[in-house]
Amino acid sequence: MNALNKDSIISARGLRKQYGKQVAIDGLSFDIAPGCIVGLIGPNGSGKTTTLKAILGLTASDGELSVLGRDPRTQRDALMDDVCFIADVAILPGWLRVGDAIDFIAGVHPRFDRSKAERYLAHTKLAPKMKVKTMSKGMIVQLHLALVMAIDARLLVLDEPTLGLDILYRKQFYQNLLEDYFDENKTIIITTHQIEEVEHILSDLLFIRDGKIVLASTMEEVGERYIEVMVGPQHVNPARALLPISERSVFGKSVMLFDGVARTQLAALGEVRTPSLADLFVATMKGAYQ
Amino acid sequence: MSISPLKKMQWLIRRELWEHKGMLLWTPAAIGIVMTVLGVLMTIGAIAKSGLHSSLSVNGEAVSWSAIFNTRTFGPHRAEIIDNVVNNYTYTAAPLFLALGFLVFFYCLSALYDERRDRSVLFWKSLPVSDAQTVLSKAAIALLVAPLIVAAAASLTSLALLLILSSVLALNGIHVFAELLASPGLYLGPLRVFGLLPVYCLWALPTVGWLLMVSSWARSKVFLWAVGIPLLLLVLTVWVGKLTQMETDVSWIQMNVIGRALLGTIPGSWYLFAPELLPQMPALEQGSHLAARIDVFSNSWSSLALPAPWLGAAAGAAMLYAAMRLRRWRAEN
Repeated sequence: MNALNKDSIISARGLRKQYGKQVAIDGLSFDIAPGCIVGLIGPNGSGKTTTLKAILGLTASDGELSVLGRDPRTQRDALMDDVCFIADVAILPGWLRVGDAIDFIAGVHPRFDRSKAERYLAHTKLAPKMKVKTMSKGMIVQLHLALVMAIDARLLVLDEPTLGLDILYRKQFYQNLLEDYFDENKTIIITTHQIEEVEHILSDLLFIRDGKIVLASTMEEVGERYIEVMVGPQHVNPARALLPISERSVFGKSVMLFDGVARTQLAALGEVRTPSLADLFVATMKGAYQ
Repeated sequence: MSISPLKKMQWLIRRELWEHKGMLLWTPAAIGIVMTVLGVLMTIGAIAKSGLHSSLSVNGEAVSWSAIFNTRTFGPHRAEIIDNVVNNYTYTAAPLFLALGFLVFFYCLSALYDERRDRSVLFWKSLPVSDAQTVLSKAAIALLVAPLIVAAAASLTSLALLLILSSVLALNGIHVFAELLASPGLYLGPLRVFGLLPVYCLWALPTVGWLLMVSSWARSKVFLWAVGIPLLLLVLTVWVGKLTQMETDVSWIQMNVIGRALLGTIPGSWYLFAPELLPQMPALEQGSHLAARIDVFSNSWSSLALPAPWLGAAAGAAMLYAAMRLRRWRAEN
């Protein structure tokens, strides 16, 4: 097994976690470079949240793990100056007021920018005196996102950050994340089931299934490696001979997804395009629940 | 670019006060106000019953209280009574001190459990605040902030009650204000209450440590675990004691382990755990007001010469450490 990569923001080698006899993550090895926006994507129960918890030092795990050059299992306190996360939505305590939350984080976090948080909140209906228990679920998420986005962390981990938000605010959030928050010194890891909303902001992709990494690649490589073809009826048999990883039919035409077949070869069979992440996900995770 | 631990601690304590404002601030305030109002009502009731100028009947002749109290022969007694009142008036706040025991008990039980139950622990853990700092801030609330608030409420309440009493006396023609204000006891009373805080801290530490540890450990039913385990142990010791005829050893465990795990948050618990602090029984029988002469302040401080508070404090500190370690990996239920 290779040694941990010192240049990576996160480096894992043989990361394992078991809950009783249930293996949650089974020997994960991966590297995440600085300045990436990584999508950690997998079906329910595939080990996404456990992986994130191990990275954040919230759960014990076996194997080698380094985050920002530190071991989150033994050096978590030092790590938390540079790492921020949203582990779940709607976990702000009911008694917390908007203004108090800002005061508190400004009081304990050296990288918190109060004016930035207030600027994000100005775009919402939240007022400083409001308590979390009087807010709708969407408003709580808005507050949490505004607080977290005002923290200038080197690593930001978002586990389903936009659950319960309407589409307007979701779009706005991802736009802010990309334009206002992200820069080459930061790294962001996102898990979400709404893949189509993040696919345009991701730079890297990690597909996880049954506790194992099944695909680790940059988005560029994905575009080169996976090609979708609208195959005309006359080309169906030669196309199937090239072993597509998935096939579905749309308006009487077969849409086939190929892994690692030359673009020129496929262009002869029909209209060629880059598959959507959602289609790639479905093809990769086929049979995940069986 | 870093923030000093002391500054973080300030914010953590403020955070606790936001969360538990009702319990830590309003409960003592409400009890104090209710006691004062009751004092006023009782006074009004007494006046309504016996008239403003109640009197004694001496040889069939009505003699007013003020006439007796202001006579010269009564002089020494008068001074003694005022002295007694002024030195002991802070005891009228006893209900508040008892309430402190319960406040701290239930505060500690929920302190580390509630944040896991509502999952907000995941939010607090996303900030650069260590488990040690969080647990220490909660212990500081239990051992310093809550007692300070209650001591302030107790001082104000007992002063208010004293004021009511002397107003009633004044209405009866007995004027004691000047003497009250001139006696040092009036000012020393609240100072003594605050001065007992370090003694309280040390004696309460084992209970606070035990409760915070259970609060950090239990996945549900914190109260049942925190009280049930000691009670189970109690039943067990009684059983063993009966079997082995070693009841003195067993009762030592009952008092010094089980009792101190559960009852230490009540102010004055040291008289329960170290009865040798109290003066000898025969002395108590001599005069009824001798009990009032025990100088509770220096007597309580003298308890720190015993090994018991220090051993308990060490056990409490160890359990606080356990609470920190437990919080490290118990992110949620």
